[in-house]
Amino acid sequence: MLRDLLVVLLFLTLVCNFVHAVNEPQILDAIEVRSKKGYSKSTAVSENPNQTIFINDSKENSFNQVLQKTTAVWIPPSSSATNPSIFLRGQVGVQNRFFLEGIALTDGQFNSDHVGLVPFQSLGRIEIYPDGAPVGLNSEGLGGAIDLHLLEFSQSSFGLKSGSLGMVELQSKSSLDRGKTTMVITATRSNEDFNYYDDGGTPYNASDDSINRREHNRYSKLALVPKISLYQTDRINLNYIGANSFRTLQVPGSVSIPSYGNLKQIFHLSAFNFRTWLSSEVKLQTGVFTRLNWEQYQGRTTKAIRSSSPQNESFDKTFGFKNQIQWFSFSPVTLEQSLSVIYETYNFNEGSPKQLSLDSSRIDFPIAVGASVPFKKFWLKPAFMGQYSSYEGARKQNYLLGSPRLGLLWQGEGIGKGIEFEVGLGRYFRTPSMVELFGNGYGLVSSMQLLPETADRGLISFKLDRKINSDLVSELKFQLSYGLVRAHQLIVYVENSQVSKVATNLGSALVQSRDLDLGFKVLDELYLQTGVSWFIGENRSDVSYYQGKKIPSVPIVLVKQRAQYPWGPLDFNYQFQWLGERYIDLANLKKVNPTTEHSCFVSWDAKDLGTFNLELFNLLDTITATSVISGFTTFDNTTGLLGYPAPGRRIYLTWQYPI
Amino acid sequence: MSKSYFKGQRNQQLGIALLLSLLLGCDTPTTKPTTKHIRPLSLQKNNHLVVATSDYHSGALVEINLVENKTETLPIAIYSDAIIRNLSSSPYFFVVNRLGADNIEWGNRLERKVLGQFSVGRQTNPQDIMVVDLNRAYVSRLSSSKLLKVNPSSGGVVKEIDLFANADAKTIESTDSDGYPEMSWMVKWNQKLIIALQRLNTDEGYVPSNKSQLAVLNLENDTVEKIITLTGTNPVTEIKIFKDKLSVGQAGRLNVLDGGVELFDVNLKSLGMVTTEQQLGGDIIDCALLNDSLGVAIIAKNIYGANRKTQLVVFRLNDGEVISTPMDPGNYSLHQVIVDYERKLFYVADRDPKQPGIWVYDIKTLTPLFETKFNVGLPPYHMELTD
Repeated sequence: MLRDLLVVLLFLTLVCNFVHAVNEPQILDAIEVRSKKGYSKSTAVSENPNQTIFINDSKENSFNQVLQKTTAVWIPPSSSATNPSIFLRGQVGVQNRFFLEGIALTDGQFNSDHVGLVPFQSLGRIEIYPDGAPVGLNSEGLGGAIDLHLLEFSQSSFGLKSGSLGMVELQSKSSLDRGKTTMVITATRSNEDFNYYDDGGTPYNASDDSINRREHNRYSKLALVPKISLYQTDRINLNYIGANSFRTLQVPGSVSIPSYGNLKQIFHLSAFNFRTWLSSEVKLQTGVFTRLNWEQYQGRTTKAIRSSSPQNESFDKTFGFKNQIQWFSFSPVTLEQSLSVIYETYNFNEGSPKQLSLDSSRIDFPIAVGASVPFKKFWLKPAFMGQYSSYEGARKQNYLLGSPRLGLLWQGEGIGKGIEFEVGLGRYFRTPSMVELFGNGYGLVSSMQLLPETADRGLISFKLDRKINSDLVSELKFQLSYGLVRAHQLIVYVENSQVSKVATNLGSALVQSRDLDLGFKVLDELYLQTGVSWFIGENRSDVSYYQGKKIPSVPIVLVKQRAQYPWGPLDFNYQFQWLGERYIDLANLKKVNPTTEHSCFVSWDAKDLGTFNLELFNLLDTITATSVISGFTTFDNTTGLLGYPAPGRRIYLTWQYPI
Repeated sequence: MSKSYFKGQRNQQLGIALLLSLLLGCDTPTTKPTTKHIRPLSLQKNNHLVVATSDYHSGALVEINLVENKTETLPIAIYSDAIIRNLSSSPYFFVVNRLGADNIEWGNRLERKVLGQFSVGRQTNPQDIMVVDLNRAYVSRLSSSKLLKVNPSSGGVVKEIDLFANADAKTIESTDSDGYPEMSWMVKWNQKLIIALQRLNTDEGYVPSNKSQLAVLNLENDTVEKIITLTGTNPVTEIKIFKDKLSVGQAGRLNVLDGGVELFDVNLKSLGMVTTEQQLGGDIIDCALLNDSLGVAIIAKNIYGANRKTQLVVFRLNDGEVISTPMDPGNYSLHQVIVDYERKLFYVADRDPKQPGIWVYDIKTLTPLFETKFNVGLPPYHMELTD
């Protein structure tokens, strides 16, 4: 109790200091890149279509709430509110890349977990590239990409969020130095323990089934995200962004073997970004960044699972330089070139005293060029990214990989205004991450022989976005897309014991995705959105017992519905998610039958009292599904992922008070 | 009982389940290995090989009809870490679902049906079951100091047996420092139950402690008759019977050639190591006697290295020397060997990462009987012959 009080006092002290420093808030105009066609994207010649979600911080309070707005994103029910698992176009979290202002938050490891390193409250917008990271981000990756962008300016405020699973979060946003500095601090504590259905390990015997408490999910986090404008003129912008996270969390084992451990993590990312117009038609963006991630894991042994070295420590240090130039001088052709140098060291120590120590480093030179060229009524977008990667230390290996891409865009004019047609083709790659190669000591073991994975991708997308002159329907949005991915040497994580996984090259896989998104505004107020996705993921591995099987953990059909209705100071949102049947193992012997999830969100702008936001996840408290294992139908607690049960109903209330 | 929102779809799900079971039944291709040697297999004992398969995430039960050379995945859900036992001269099978599931599942193989499942204690890590009859069985558990006596048909625990209750405390240490004797494989031998006590120190990463033992339980009164200290440590193989001899493979410390194959006579008197890991050239994974003069072993080389691999070697019983290496797949895949003395064949479980299966070898020629393996779907983990 005393410790809690101290945390609150410390927090308020910090907040008050920042609040006092605010003088005259001023909204800064961000330097915005606009292509000649007038549409705006962070990467002007992006060969991959993106979707940008602007966050309304008075109405939206979590990744789950915001990201579900787009059909291409799926957040499974097992996700916690703070560290969501994110699937993009049916691709699991490990394939997707996450960026903060264009800088990779992590290399390929449990990426989506690291989204939680950046507090949601610090974000102004989220750019989603469901079909691959564009060359402008100059980063490898097979899946999609999510680029988080910090608030440009924020009204200073204090917030408090509390609710289910013992969650308490203190939030503060401060605008300092005439709005040149934005500082977001959050302190979170939650136990995340929840009830689950335990079949006693005997699916054929219902007599020992019970509802148990899922334990060892407690965590505490302090996050601090500053964004400082160091120098700004009409043509030049130099800023600093940082992301700092201090976490202690319990890492639970599987349901059947409750071994667990405590993880301490310190994450720091600093970046200096410099943007200038070298001439009226040449834009330069350059920057340096450093990313540090220290983790210490202390395993707690149980009688059943013992380990001789339950303590591990890893320290990942990354330093990088990024440079990007965009030429608008060859109008109507736009050119883009980017170049990076990224140096990373990884130190992993196992045991206390030290029993194993691995030191390794890698250096990456990614270089990319792209163009946007008008051709008759289309825009052609050829791009190429090449990367040289060199590993030294515990593993010595060099790779030279290339990623050619071609995009084609048609935008309707006149009667066809609001219609957009896009086609994309490309080859993508990803080299094994340090964590995948050397393990992280708490679940992922070393896999030194891992090879880079590659994928050939194709996409066709049709979009319609129109205002309609009708009393009943005033706005119509429609999107239909088809994607085809053929992956080679796909890296997947498979169990190699009851308590550990290993990254391995699976071989080939073919994933087809079809997305249909329909949204319309009725009676000028009610917004309705329906999304349907079909995924056909076929494992084409040369492993005989996986060949021809479905890719696990991805629902074959996914239906999402959303309704939004503003009513005076209130704003109502309802989300419905129907997850079709999905296999939860590579061998396709375990299938979970369809499940549904209902969620709703209500925000209330109480003027002088601030804003209140109520989030209700999993309204019907679904914690089991029927499943079929080798032809036998049973109840299953694995409505979540990979044996991890889904939490039931969760309610959170957030109060934000402007200062 | 549980909260489900699909109760109305129960019939539909049962339909789907049936359909899936049919699909899964067809999923593992019916395999007829190419015949290399024309050798008719007449109806004899041991007509079926039942195999528990696993990729460590999923498990399946597969039956190989050795008369028709057909494989079939049974519509029976088993755990990803499981072993199979059969009650001789009956259609009843028993699956020991190990750590994580910690239960015994039993059923009728001919009816493709599970008849019961019961827990033996969460996290106790059952290792083996020896079924005397449908009302009496014994379960060894790695993380328990007591042997479990159960009634499979009722699913009830009859009693827990402390193997060291009457032991001489001066001469026999009941457990090592972790508190468990690590009971593992068992075999029934002349109305006695012989239980391997690995006596691993789990606190130190499952390394063998100063000694490993065999406990001999009298099945008439459930009392321990004696405890035998093995010549080596870490008995990793099943205790196998050939005529009037028992063989126990002992691996000792991993990656150290300190183990061997120890033989016991009908009175359970040790005949010493018939071969050693030094002679075999690797750590013992499994072994068996092929006949009066030869034995077979699966050995592992360079266990902790990137180029670790397994080999199948045949050794002489008189001097322990290796005379042949019938299989050297170049990877770490060979897992179990069992001998069919009726047909004079032996079966080798090959967990090859890409093409797993079961090889059939001729004892006389030490060559594969078929050019290809029996495809059992997932990699074979444990197999047992039955009628």
